[in-house]
Amino acid sequence: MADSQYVLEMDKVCKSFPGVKALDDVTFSVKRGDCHCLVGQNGAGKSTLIKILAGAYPLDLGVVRLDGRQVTFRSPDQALRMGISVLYQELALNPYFNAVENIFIGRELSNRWGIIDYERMKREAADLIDPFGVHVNLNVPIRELSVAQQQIVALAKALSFDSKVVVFDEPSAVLTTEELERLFAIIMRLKQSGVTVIYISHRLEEIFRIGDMVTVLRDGRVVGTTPVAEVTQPDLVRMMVGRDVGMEFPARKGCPSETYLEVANVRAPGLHSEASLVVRKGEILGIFGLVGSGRTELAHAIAGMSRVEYGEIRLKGERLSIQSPADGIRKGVALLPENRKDEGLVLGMSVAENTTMPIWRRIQKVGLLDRRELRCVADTYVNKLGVKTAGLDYPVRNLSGGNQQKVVLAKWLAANSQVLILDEPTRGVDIGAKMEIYRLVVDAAEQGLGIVLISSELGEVLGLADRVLVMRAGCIVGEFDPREVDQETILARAMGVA
Amino acid sequence: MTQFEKNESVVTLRPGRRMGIGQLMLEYNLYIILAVLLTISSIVSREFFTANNLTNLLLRCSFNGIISSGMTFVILTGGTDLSVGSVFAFAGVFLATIQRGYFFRFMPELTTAFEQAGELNPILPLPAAVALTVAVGGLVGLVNGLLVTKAKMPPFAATLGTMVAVRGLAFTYAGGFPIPGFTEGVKWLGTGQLGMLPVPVAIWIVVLVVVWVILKFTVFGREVYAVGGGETAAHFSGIRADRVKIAVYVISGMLAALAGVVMAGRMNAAEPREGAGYELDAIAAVAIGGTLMSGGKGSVLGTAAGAIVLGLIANILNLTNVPPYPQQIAKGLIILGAVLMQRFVSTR
Repeated sequence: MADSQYVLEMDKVCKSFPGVKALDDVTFSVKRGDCHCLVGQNGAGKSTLIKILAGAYPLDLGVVRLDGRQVTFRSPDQALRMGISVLYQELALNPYFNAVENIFIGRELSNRWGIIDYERMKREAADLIDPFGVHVNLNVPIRELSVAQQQIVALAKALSFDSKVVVFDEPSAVLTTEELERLFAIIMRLKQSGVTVIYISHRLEEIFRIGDMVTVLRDGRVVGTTPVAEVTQPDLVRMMVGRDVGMEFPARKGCPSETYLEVANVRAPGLHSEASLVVRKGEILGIFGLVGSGRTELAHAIAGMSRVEYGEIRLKGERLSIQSPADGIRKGVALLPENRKDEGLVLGMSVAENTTMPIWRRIQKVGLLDRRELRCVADTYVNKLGVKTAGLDYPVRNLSGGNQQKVVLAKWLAANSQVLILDEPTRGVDIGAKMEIYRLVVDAAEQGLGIVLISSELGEVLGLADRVLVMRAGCIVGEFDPREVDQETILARAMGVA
Repeated sequence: MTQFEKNESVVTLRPGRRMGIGQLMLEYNLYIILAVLLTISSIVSREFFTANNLTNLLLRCSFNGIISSGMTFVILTGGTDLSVGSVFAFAGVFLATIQRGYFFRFMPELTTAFEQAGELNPILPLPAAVALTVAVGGLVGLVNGLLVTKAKMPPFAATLGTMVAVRGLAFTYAGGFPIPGFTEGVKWLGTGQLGMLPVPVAIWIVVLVVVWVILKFTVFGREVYAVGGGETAAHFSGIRADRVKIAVYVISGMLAALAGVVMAGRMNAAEPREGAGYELDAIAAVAIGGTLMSGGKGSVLGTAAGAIVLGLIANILNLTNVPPYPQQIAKGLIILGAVLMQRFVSTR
């Protein structure tokens, strides 16, 4: 099989973790020079598969062949040297080193005296980076570069190993639309130079842009592998979830009534002009903006995570002085943060404790936490929201992304919030759970909460919101009625084209 | 992942698995270590299981036991407190000073102990004097907490600074020498008996129970775990993380001062050199007790067991006449072994 057309083959691979069969008899072959996409819901086994390829996990059963030869990776280092590089979502770069140091870390070029030859390293680094057509400052610590530039550095590093296979693990999650376009161009160029690309993404439209083949994983098994040209988006979705899911958004019944939250001429860190907005009872206000548009900063200013420099925030006409998240919560303004794992949940604590965290102080009796009440409240909301968990005392760490997000929602509903700001509520959540979160958001609005929905997914904002604000470069740059506007108009406004 | 329908309520994904013997052993390895050490002790020495030796053992452990109870709070939030050994010493010196009628007493010149000690002249009744001393320990903790939260210093650096400064304060108050002599009440705190129980052990037990109740059953206790498990998430959930962190350093300082008072009573002297290295013993007890150094997980009962393990090691080695220097080697290895086992449990 020396001249196999497949650069990489995984044959009947199995991998179990205690209590979970993560990969079950997975056979997966990638043709040389293809862009092979890998899709599946959270927990379908994508990351396990990638980690086996990267040498981070040993496999239990099965064979991995590279260029027709059977290989066993004992460490990520070994996989890298044999020609497989993985670009993870969180880039494995040293933020305090510059691009050159990052690319050559651990194998610095030296002159004949054994002294590191920075000039030569810099030349070679420039040779690696230049073809991408993106300017990258080689002299500053990479933490000062944009995420896209950092990705280029990681990519250059991967290519410096003469990688045969480059794996992209959800690169679009951290990129702006423009940066993503550039990444697609780079992937095309990689393919032309004979490098094979494995591309993982939640966003199906990307797969139709760049993919040659697509493999769908579900519950640790391969559901199918087909050329991208022969499937449609609904086909893929059906394969991923194993049933038909309408891409429809839940219908709205009630109509927004009196004004709840008013933000008047607010300036805060990260906002470049005064921001004003109004949210009514029972209304979903959508905010669309690309990464870095100031949408998270605005949310943080309203909910008390950052300080409002001037301007007023009023709830039902009453002026609020919110100095901290605790103040906001007490007044009924809550934020579901962008980063679920660091900001939304205390991962090591149980479902019950996370659900009730904001109201601990409300359910104490003579200084002691009322555990019965705590469990009772948690039980109510866990049931109401359909959180799938092995029990109330189960650590939220072990729940899937979608169920974790539901716990965050449950927490804010249990705290009797009146205004709920949702910052990217469906990021990193699989499609089935997305639909459920949409339903829960609409339910919350129907029950009379005021909701601010921040998202970089246009479909989501247009499908759910009653009104849409667009943000760009720290300013609110437009308001639209989602029934009367098309995606292109909003995107153009968000990108500053129109 | 199992299929499920909309509107379905809680679904049990995995039935609660029963623990195997191996898992049980890992879960309770600390208590197994304790049992093994006790067995070894009883084999190597006939005297071990005498009431006398056992109370002595607990007495030796009680000082570290009280300090490490406070340290547990700090480590649960992901911090550390290096200043406890200095606070321990300063508390004794401070109490000796107020028992001689002063609140401030700076002895810049080295004089002999007897010249400078002065007559006992208790200006405050004993409970008030002890409370004041403990409050001063809390004050040092407050400084630590403010440095960590408001000045955003790493706990290691902040408490290293106060450790050195407070040690200097103890020497300055005492003029470099021990201050001998306390009132009867203070001596009772260190040497008294409550039936079979030495007073320091009784104090330790009370501290232990109170700390256990706080950590397990109060909102503040759960907030300590939440802050240690994910500070940003806790803050975003409305927990005033800074206040929680300040509070844990205050508690740690107060308990270190309380232990210092008891020790001063026991020695019937305030020794400014006392307690050097106690911060490390306290951290070791917490670590052996299974509390994660990164915070968020652990218990004060584990810490107590950790303190007893440390005391037992010394006790066995003493009973078998191992000289003090090799004793340290053994102690170090046992600390490493215990923490290694804990790591093994927590990564499973």
